[in-house]
Amino acid sequence: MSTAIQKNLNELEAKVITMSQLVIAAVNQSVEALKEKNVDDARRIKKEDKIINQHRWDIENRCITLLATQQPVASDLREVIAILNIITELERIGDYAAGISKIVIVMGEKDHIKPLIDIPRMRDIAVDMIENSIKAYSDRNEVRARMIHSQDDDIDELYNQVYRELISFMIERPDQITHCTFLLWVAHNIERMGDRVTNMCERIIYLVSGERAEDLR
Amino acid sequence: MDEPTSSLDPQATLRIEELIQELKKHVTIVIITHNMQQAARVSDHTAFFYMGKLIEMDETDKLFTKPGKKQTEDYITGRFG
Repeated sequence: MSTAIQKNLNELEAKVITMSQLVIAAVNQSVEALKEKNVDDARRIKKEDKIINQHRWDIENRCITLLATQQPVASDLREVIAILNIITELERIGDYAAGISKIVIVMGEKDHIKPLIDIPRMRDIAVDMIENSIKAYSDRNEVRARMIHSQDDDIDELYNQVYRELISFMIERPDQITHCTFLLWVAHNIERMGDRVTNMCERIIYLVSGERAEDLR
Repeated sequence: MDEPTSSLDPQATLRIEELIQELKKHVTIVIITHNMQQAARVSDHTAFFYMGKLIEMDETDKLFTKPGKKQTEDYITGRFG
């Protein structure tokens, strides 16, 4: 039997998926803007972060109304809690993409010190993690949610590599310290995205099993 | 207490529930209710019976967040009545 709560939860799930698509687009485009030194695109992405924030508040308001009017319990309650946490993490990932865009604006159209390879790779993994986590959420798949964590290790490894490389550049070319620092910030933003997706996976595991997944870190 | 607040308005219900909270410090109280929110509010332990048969009993916090039996889950979430 389908209840009114389930109908609302299905609508909320669709909204979470839509929000995740906007976040994925922002992450992809912000790193593309960095690669292409496209300041106009960066300005647009930064501006569009407001749309992601609006989605977050809309979903949160709907969750509050659902809690207040329908008092969900058991798996329904866990789902509302999971959604509230997932949208917070997605919104923060959107902020990281906006942060990268701000860096692109500040860096301007000046050439990069070298072709960007590892930062786009970090981005690709982060996007893959977001997609997989949303799939795990909509499939209520605990196994998949647990597997995503290993991708976070890949991002961390790349981040350490980028960090070491940029520090070496700074030592060799002190005139490029500012440029290298900007790239370090970009890499750090992407590294944090991985952590945020891991938080989302913890919530998906809680949604499915009712158990806290503190072993993910 | 068998359905101690049925047909009562919210204010009178609140007074009865406060009385239950006070009395339970001294005696064990068993209440029968079909009001899920009331069971969650006033009891430390909850038992779910269906057709006179005990299906599940647990601490109230656990029963309403992570019930052990699917039948309990379906009932408290309103998936079957």
